[in-house]
Amino acid sequence: MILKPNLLFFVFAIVVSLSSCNKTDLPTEYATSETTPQIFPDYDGVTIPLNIAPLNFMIEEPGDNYIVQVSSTKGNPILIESSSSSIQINQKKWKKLVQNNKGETMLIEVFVLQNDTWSRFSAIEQFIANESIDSYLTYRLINSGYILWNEMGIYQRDLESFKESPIVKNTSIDKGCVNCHIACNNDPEKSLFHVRAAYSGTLMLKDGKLEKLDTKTDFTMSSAVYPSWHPDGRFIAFSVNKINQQFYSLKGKSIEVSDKYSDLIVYDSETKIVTTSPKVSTNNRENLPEWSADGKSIYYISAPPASDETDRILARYSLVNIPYDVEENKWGEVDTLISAYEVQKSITFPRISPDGNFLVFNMTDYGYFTIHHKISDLYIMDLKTKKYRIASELNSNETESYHSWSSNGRWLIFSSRRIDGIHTRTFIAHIAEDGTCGKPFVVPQKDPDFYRNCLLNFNRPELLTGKLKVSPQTIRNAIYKDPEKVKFDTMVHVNALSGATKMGHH
Amino acid sequence: MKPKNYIIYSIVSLLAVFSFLFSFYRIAPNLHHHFQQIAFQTDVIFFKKYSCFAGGLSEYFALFIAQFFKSKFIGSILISLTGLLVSILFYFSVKLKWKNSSLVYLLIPIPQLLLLVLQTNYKYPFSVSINILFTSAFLFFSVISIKKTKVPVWLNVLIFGFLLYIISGGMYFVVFILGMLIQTFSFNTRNVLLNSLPVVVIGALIPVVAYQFIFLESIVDSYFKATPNLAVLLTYKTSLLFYVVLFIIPASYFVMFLFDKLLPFPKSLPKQQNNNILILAQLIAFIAFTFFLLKGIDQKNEKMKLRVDLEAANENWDEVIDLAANSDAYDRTINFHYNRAMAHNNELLVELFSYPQLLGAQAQFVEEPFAGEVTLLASDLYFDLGAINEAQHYALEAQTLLFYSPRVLKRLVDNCMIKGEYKAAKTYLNVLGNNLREQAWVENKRAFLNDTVQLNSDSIILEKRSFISTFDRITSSPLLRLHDLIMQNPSNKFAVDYMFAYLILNQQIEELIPYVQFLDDAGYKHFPRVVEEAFIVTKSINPNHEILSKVSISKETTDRFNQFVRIKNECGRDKALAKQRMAEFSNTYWYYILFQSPKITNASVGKRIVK
Repeated sequence: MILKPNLLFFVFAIVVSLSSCNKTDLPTEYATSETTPQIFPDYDGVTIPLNIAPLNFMIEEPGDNYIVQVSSTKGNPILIESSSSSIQINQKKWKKLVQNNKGETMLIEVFVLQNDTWSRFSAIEQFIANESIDSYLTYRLINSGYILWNEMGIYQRDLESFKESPIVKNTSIDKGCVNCHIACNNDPEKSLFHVRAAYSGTLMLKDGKLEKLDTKTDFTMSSAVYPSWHPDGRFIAFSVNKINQQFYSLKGKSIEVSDKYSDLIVYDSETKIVTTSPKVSTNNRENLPEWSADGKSIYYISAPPASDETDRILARYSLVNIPYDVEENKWGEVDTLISAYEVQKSITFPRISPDGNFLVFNMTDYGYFTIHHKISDLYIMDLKTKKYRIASELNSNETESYHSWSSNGRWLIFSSRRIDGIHTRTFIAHIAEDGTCGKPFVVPQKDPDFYRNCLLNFNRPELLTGKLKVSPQTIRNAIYKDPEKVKFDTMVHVNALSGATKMGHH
Repeated sequence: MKPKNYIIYSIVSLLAVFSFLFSFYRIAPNLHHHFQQIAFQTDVIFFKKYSCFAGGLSEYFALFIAQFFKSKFIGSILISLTGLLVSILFYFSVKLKWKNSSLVYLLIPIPQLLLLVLQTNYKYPFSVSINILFTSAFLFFSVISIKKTKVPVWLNVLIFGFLLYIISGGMYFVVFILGMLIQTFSFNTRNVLLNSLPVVVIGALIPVVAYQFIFLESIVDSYFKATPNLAVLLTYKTSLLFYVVLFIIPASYFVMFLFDKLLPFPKSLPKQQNNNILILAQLIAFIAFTFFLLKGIDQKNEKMKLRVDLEAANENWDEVIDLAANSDAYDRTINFHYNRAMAHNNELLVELFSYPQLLGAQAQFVEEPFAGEVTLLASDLYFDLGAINEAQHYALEAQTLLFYSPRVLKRLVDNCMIKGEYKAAKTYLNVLGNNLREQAWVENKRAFLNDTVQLNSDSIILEKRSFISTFDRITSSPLLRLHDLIMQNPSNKFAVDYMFAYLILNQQIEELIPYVQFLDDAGYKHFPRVVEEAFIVTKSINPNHEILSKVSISKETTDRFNQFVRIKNECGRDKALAKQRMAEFSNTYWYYILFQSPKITNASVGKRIVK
């Protein structure tokens, strides 16, 4: 008891000394380097959303100590001192600084101490956009196996912080496969994903209600596969596919995922009826539907029928469009926007900006499943002029593949393997009103070295305007239920359907 | 020392020695380590993986311990020690009830023995032993707490039970609740209902609350998950013995409870003579029990297969060949590694049939039917062949199932280095670098990776690079892959040997002829014995064969073939007699096509659904 005041004093002294240690000053004497420092991930020259979490990074310059100053036009700079090269920026300070400097440039100055001498590098510049990005990102985390799978899940990540939580994990559903999650207008309350193998079905959340559907009918070749929500949230276009996998021995190529057959269908979530048309269920392989922003037509890709394995694999898909009146269930005539024959390339994953101005797609040598194609690049089309160009600002020497838009149309997220050539990561890029693309950056993580230690792939990134509030337990319980079978549209003249759609008694 | 203590120490010491020796010689923990590809990572991602489900923490702890199984010696100590702790806790749990009873001395070794028997199964997850240890400890301390403190039973069960649920998971929690429930029966009559009802309620509620609000497991797993949720190839099938071990403590509590109610005699036996009789009786019963328990273990073939697989993984090819020669039963994996070993020792086309090739080419290429078990094997073989894309493909499949397996990650690193995918190699190295036991390997490769001059002049890497196919096409069969490999680089001896062996095993001798020209590139000065044996058969059937009629066969092979034909003719249609008399030809192609070829026997690898 006698020692107690001394002890208090001792604790006080430690607290004071620790707090004084925390105060970081910029070095006053230093050598100046004309180059910007090497950092990982590459966040130099990128345009960032107003609400993005701190872009933590590793300084790839040798040193014993590091000081980083993050500053912009308004507000106090953020100073970080670290004995390690891992720079983690305080979230609250970052948020304040970014939001006070809308449309401004942020400067990141890096000082490195080596052999008792400080070096100051040229500042890294980041441009703060005027727009926010949808606050949640969803993706599937999967292994790199092509045939086998084990544990997987669909997750949601708060882009304003680093919080990640599961939407569904397959460990609770006998390791079934969960895939193709998508939301209507990025609205978390209107979304769906498929479950395959164990407890198979399509889980659909709409107006707060969870439904499990069996989308396979006697008149369609498979369950619904690649989805696209109509902007009004009632209709969903899907493809139905017969999918195969083959492997290469050639270096630089690994696997080819191709379709023997495929068609399009449209599902009405109110009547629970699936319809199609002889125009989108032909001998050709219609695939990857995407509604126009006004919901009056469907963009999709189409390849000639496959007569053999070579045809199946080396097919080139054209980009086409068909008007479709959902109220009247009337189909227009197919119009080809980009002919694969003319460009001698294959078009895939058409995605339209919410304002209807742009269409971003992938182009590759052949096929449509581009995640394993190193040569796959992103292209952007101005839908008013129908002119398109390669989005060089977004592409790399590695694969660029699946992509989607933010609800305000100012951000594009896409999958790329540019970091290590094998693992798929999600990148964010600013798209200006005129279609100019900003330099993309990988979704920031709390641990800036995360991507160099993660062997999982961030598959099929999609943005959500908010958090999906339905608990993963509720979703799991809904998956356990028996699916409700959807019906096939009796008004469709089935006999008129040709090609891939399996005939049955109607 | 008191006589009782003397007995206990003697039993424990003997048990410790026996356990160690049994673990070391019979179980061989290094085979567990090898088969399960046990890996413990020091990073946060790894910990998070195990902290998000009930029982994850004990799996994490068990992996930490089991990573040392790589050393047979340390592994044996750890297995013995864990079992001993369970046994000692079991003894003291019983002693809490039956003080001074000589009846319980020889109960001590029982849990240890049972655990050792379980451990002879190479799919047995060590986390089960750890969970049984935790459950025993929680039960023991919970009972002590009830006896020595005034903490109410329900609170005791709630705290200990909840903690155990989080640490060990559903089934161990159920065991704990059962144990506690039986304990409450022994309280005086008035309190039985008062105490047991909350125990039942807590036992029922905790898993269901965890199911609905905390974890993402199924309701069945919430209550009854006893083993880790691993890939199919590692899934341990629980047996009756497994449940005996699991419930041994609550069961013994129940037996004691029954004895208390029906036959209260064993509580104390004052006379030394009676004690001695009891101890002797226990000893006899125990020896008999041990004998039958150990007699029932059947792991010889599985162990041999794993030994061969381990030696192959370490590239001890002579050892692989020796073990294969000494194996009693045919095994596809042993056959597969035998072929690889022979190819590595440049003797495949001489000694191919010195191991019975009962599955023909199905044991040469194992990826059909495709299942998790064959992923690593296929990756290893394609790496040998220089088909690095395929080696990578199957390594990635393996990594999907054995996420942190050092063996798989090493294969991925090597493949990426050969393919020039250095960034990916670094990612895999970073992950492997979080495994404390692989630091030396990682540092060595990192240094190599940073020295691009050395890397690009390394003879093995350069050779493997020269083997990679430049043919831009889908390769859907082993034959096509081998063809492309030979066309890519005719000096790829491994591929040439495998092509010949493949066609010979499939008895496709005509298809083999176009590849004869590559024997020279592969360094053969004359036809290897097995090729001669195949050619002489074809020649004998078609003496005017356009090409083979010009091929000269060595005198030795010709003489042996003539002798073989003579015996065959002498035996006529008596196949059994022929087989007996031709035993000395069992290492020849002729014997193979007569008695072993799947074309004759219809032997086939069973189909299994791929998941």
